[in-house]
Amino acid sequence: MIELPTAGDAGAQRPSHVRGASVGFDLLRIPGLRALVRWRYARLLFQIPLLVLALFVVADGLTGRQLAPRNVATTSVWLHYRGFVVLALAFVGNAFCASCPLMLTRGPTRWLKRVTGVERPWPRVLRSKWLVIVLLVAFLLSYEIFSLWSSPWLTAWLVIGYFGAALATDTLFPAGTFCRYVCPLGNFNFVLAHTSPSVIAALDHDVCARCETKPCLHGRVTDDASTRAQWEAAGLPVEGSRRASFVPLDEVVHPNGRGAFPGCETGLFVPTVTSTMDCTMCFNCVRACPYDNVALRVRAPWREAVRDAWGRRSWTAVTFMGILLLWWGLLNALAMIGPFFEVAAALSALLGSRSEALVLVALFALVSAVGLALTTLTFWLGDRLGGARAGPLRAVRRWGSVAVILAVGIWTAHYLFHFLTGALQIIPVFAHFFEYRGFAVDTNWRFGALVPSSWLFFIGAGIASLYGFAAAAAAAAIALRDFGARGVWAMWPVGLFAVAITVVTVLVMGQPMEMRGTLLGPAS
Amino acid sequence: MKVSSPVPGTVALRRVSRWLLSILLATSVVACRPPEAGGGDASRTVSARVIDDSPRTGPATIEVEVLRDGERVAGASVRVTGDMTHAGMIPVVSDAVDLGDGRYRTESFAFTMAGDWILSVDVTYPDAVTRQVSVPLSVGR
Repeated sequence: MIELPTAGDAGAQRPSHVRGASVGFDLLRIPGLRALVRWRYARLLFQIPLLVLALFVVADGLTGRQLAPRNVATTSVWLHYRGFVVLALAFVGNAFCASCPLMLTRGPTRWLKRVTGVERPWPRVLRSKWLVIVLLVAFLLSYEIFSLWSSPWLTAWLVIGYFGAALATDTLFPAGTFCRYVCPLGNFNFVLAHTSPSVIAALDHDVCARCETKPCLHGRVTDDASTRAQWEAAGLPVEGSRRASFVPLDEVVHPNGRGAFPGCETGLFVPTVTSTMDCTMCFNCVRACPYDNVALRVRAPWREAVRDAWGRRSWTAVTFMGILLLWWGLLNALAMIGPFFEVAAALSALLGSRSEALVLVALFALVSAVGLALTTLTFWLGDRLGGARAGPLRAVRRWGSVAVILAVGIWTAHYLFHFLTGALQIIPVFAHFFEYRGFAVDTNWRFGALVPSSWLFFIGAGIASLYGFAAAAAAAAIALRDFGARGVWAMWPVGLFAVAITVVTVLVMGQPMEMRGTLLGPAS
Repeated sequence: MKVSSPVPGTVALRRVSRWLLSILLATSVVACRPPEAGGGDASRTVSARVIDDSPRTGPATIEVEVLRDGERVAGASVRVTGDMTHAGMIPVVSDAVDLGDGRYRTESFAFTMAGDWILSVDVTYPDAVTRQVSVPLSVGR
C-alpha cells in the first residue's frame, strides 16, 4: 500500500493532499452526501422504494384491472419511470441505475454461484455494445408490436422477465455483466448520460498512480490485520487477486467500516474515467477507495462531447447505438401522431400484408438504414470539408456525439410530454389499487396534468430546441478542435443536420397526438 | 459395480433448476389474466354505442341500452367512462340520462384525443344489481 497519512480515529479529516485538489466542484462535498454515499447500505436505501414499486407493478399488472390508465404497472412504468429517468439524466446523472432494484438479485446470484459452482467469463465476442443494440431494437419493437404501454399484464411480465434475466446473467457470468452487456434500459441510460452534468473522477491522480491494488476496480476487504488469515481461509480476498484486496483497517485513510467493499462491477477504473458510459453511479468506487479519493465532479453537459471521450476510445458500437437512438427516438415520437399511421398503411399496401409486426419491422429497418446512411454521409461530408481523408467510420466516431445530444433532446421532450400530461394520475391509480381490492377508498380521477396542456408544446419544443442548439454548438466546437481554421467549413453539414433534426422534432411535437394500439386500424 | 461420481455442481445445478422451474410454474398459475368485472347473471345485458358511427375528437353522444331477460329496463343508474389505452390520460366520465324506455343517453361526453379508447359502462339496476361492460373503439381526428 502507499504511504499516506493514516487516520484511525473516527473524526479524521480527509487527507490534505486530497483537500482542495482541482476537479471542479465535487458534489460529494455537499454536507452529509459523502458520508451517505460511503455508507455501506446507501444504495439499498434508494433501491428499496423502487423494489416496493416493482412489487406493486407485478401485483397490479397480474391481478389488477387490465386498463392501462387505471393500473399501477402501466402508469408507473410507462409514465413515471421514463419521466423521472430523463429528468434525472438531465439534472443529475444516471440515478436510476444507481437505485435499480434488479441489483438486489446480487444476494441470490452469489448464493447460486456458490451452490452451482458455475461462473463463466462473458464471451469475448459479446464484449461490446452490439448485442445491446440488438436487444434495444427488440425491446422497442416489442413495445410497439405488443402495445406494451397498454397492457398491465405484459408490463408486469416484462418486469418479472427483467429480474429473471438479471438473475440468470449475473449467476452464470461475473457480476455486472448484465448491466454492461445486456440491459437495454441501462444502456439507454448510459448513452443519454452523455450530456449529464456529473461524472465520477479521481480527486488526486497521484494517489491513484501510487495505489497498488486498485480497490475501486477490484474491491477490497478491510479488517484488523490479524484477521487476514481468516478472510483468506474463507476464500474471499487475496492481495493481488483480481477480485479484491485485503486492506488492513489501520491502512485505510478514512474508514467506513469493516468487511468487503466490492469494486466497480462494470470494470471502470476511476482515474481513467472520462465518460459516464457504463457507470451505474453505484458508488462502489467511493466506498472501496481506502484513500477517499473519489469525487462526483460537476461538468458542463457538452464536455464529454467536445472532449471526444468516445472517439478517443474508438467506441464504434457505442457511437452507433447513440446514432440509432436518435432515429429510433424520432420514430417513437412519430408513432404518436396521425401521419405515422398513414405511412404505416401505405407501407402495408406496398408489402401486401396487414401484419402489424411485419410493417413495424420494415419501418424500423427502413428508418435505421436511412438514418444511419444519412448521418454517416453528413458526418463524412463534414470531415471532407475539414480536409480529413479518413473513412466514414472515423467521421462517425468524430461527430457521433452530435447525434447523441440530439437523441437526448428527442427522448427527453417525448418522455416529459407524457409525464407532464399525466404525472398526478399516480395518486388515483394507487387509490384505485386499493379500491379494486375492496378497501373503502374514494378514487378521484380528476388528478392529471402537472402543467396546463397549452404549455406542453412549448415545453417540448423548448427542450428539443435547447438540445438542438447544444448539438449545433458541439458540431462547431468539434470542427474547430479537429480542423482548426478549416473547421468553419467542416461545421456546416453537421450543424445543419442538427438544425434539420430539431425542426422535424418540433414539427412532430406540434401535431395533435393520436394514441393507438392498432397500427393499421381496428380491422387488422 | 462401478459408480460414476457426478460432475461437481451438477446435482446442485439440477436442484436449483427444479427450484426455479417450480417458481416459474407457480408464477404462471397466479399470473393468468384476471377476469374483468361484468360476469355473472347472463339475463342482464348492457349494450353501448356512439351515436356517430365514426367518432371524432370532441363532443359525442353515447347511447346505452339496459336489458333484463330481453326486456328494456328503465330506472337504472348508468355511468359512462371513457379511458384511453395509454396511461396518464384523465378519464372522461358522464352520467347518462334515463330516456324512460330502457335507453340512456349521455349529454356531456367528449373524446379529448384521437386514438384508441375503451368505453366502460357501469349500470346499477333498480334492484341494486350492478353490471359493467367495456367497449373498445377508435376515435379519429
